[in-house]
Amino acid sequence: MSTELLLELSEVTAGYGKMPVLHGVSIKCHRGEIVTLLGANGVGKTTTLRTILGQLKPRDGEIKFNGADITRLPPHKTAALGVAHSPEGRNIFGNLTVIENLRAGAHLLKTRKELKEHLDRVYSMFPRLKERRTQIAGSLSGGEQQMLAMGRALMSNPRLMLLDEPSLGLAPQLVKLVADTLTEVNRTGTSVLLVEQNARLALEISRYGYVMEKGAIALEGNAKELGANEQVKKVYLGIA
Amino acid sequence: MRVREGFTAVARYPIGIGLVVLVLFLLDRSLPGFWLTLFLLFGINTILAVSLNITNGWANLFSIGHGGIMLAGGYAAALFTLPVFFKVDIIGLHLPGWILNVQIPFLPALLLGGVVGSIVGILLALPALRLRGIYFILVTLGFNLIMVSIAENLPNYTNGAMGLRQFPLYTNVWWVWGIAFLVIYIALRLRKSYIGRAFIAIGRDQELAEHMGINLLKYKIYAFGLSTFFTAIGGILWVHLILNLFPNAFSLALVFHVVTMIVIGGMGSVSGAVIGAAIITGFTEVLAPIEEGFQVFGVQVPHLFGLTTLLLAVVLILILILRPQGIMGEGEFSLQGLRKRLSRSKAE
Amino acid sequence: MTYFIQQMLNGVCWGSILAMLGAGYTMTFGIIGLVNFAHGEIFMAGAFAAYFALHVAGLPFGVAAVLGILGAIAIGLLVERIAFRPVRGSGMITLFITSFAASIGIRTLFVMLFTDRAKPFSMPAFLKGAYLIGDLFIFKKTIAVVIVLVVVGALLMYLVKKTKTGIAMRAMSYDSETAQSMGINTEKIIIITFIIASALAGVAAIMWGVSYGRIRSSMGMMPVVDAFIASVIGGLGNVFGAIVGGLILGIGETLFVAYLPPELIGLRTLFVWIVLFIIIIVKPSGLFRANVK
Repeated sequence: MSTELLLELSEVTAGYGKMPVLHGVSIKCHRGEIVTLLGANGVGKTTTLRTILGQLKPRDGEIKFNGADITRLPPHKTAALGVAHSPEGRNIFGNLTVIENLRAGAHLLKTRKELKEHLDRVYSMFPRLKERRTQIAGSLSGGEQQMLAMGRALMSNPRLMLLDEPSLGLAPQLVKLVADTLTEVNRTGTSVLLVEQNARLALEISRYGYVMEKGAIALEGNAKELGANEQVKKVYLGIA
Repeated sequence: MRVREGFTAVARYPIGIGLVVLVLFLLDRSLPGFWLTLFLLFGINTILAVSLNITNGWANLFSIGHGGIMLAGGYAAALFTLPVFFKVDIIGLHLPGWILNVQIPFLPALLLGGVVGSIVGILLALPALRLRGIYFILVTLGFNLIMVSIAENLPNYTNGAMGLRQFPLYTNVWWVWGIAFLVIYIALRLRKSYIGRAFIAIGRDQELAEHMGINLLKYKIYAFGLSTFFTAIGGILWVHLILNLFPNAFSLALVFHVVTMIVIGGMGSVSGAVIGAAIITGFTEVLAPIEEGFQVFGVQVPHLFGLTTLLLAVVLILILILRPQGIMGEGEFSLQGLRKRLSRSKAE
Repeated sequence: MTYFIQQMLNGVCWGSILAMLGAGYTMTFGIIGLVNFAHGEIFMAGAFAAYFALHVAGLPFGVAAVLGILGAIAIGLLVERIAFRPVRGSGMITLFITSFAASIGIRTLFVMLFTDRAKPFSMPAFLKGAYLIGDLFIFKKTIAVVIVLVVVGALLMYLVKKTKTGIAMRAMSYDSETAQSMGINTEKIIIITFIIASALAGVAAIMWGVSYGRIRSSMGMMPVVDAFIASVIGGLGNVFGAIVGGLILGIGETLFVAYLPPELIGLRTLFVWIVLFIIIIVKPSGLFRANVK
């Protein structure tokens, strides 16, 4: 596996208003990797993603993507460098049809040919979306919305995909589909930073993992090591 | 420095009122015409701004239809305060005998106009209160346009766009400032009362207010009824100061001026509304000679009608950009607060 | 019956003007939540730009029309810069007050500079005259206005429905933050929205000049209120709805006036407000679902 650094957060501090949520978070993601960020609710996982995206300006620290400093870049420019986001709660555009959602995700593509290519790719991953392509996205089921959010993020052919809780509230077969799709996406060259509650799934498909507690990284290591860690077992995998 | 204990509330009121009366008396006697008129306009604007603040500042029912209310109250009062001979003389005016042949004193005319304004206001409010945000603003705006249009197109009752003249000069320092102080007093008391707090709660967060058990419709009607009552009275005082009444005078431009007052002073603050009224009154009158053209060293400077409005528009935008909370924010002016601030700045 | 149809035809021009204005209105509201009260002054400025090109500079009609649209865009961008951008993110009321102030300020400035007297706006020769079909007069200018409405309306619908920019606009109106993370430059989209809305106001201004033959500084006041109501009728945020709403309102208003006793002609403003009250009370969401919003 290549070890070229794709994303690097060094000592990032960020928050809303006066209260910092993140206290010096450092995360690394190499090209071609799936990296998992574990943690309970409210420890700052989503805030970390928002900071990477540029939706939140960090107060301190540095974020580098593909060698470039993106610490204070506005979100649309970060996206232009190849960072895509599949937000928590599947924030799809409920007023647009499925295909329009996918086209919104493809905003950065230049040519119709590229658009067609990526549309076909997403449709082949999620045939369901093709069936529903003219349907208003707001009327899709929860699972379909999750597929759409992922599909939309993939439309720009990103270098790095940030995924926030993709398995939340999904039926077991769909969780499996999501996991398979992620592995597939990763195989074709997109790195993934995955935020998950479902630690078992996350550690299964990732190479490396971080555990967050109270806005800081408490633990990190290879996915296998983390899976074997007693504390992780107890708290995140539910094994006593 | 503390307020002296001996000064009980009982003793303070008569002394305060006595002082105010004395000051008003001296001003009334000593101010030359122009300054007296300015002082009266300031008082009327105070009434308008403080009462507009009840709906627009507190209850977040942003009305720009108060011009129509002034118009309704103004005409209702005018039809009874105009001299009988004038009403008979106007060819277009076809009034029933009980209006045509009657001239009543100012107080009943004020009350009548106030009640009419209030009723019209509540009639407007009943359908409009179902609406929120921009829809509410829009309906009040339409109301203002309709009122002006009706007044212009019902010559039998209003003499149309020709307007009415020959008003008796009823408005004086006592009426204006008596009512102005009354409105300020009511507003300040209201702010501390359950009703006033209910207005403000509705303005902050309607759902929350409803959950707290506040009857939204009831208190919105209270707010609108009270605000429009005094707005109408302000309109009547104005008519009986400038001594004519044209429908067009109550257009959106007038409402714009009053809105500017409360934005400058700080939406939601009674003292802010008074300060805003003072600033806009002064501003308007200072610019009046420039608007009408004047001579400097024998050179005629051409008139610039509309200069005031243009500058007010600029000022309003600048304030909303630079200091959206206005001069006072939502707070009130108080001597204790001022003392605290002064002593703090000394300590630094 | 002939009278009725004739009046309907007469209402088409007014309806088309409202349709163009309403479409612009609904776009700024749908995409950035701004009820741009100064839209009427953008319209008026467009008319003045065309007037100066036509009557002062003596340019041909086509050039004047383009300059009119450019003039509207210039004022639209100015309004965006001074009255919208600095207070973006403030409450709806603040946005309303600044655009209200911009509206009054610009109108007053134009009255000061050019007075409020009507100025002639002569139409080109090819738009003069009418066809007589049976007992009906069909004016050439009406035909031209309708053609422009259909063409511009179709272009607008294509833009909003099918293009990348249109999809970005609608995505942004639903969730600006998520749209940004797709690489959509929301600043740019806001500017584009203002440009399109102002251009539509410019088109409406040319239609006005051709239809009525004169313009004045206060001409933006009434149509903009009517156009807003048109967009409410069509469902705020729905471009197609605003166009339909504009036509319904314009034709309805003309018919209302046509059947009003002459002494009550001045009450024409009542009509639109009666319509508005009914719409708001019966169906506040309007006739169509928002598609921009």
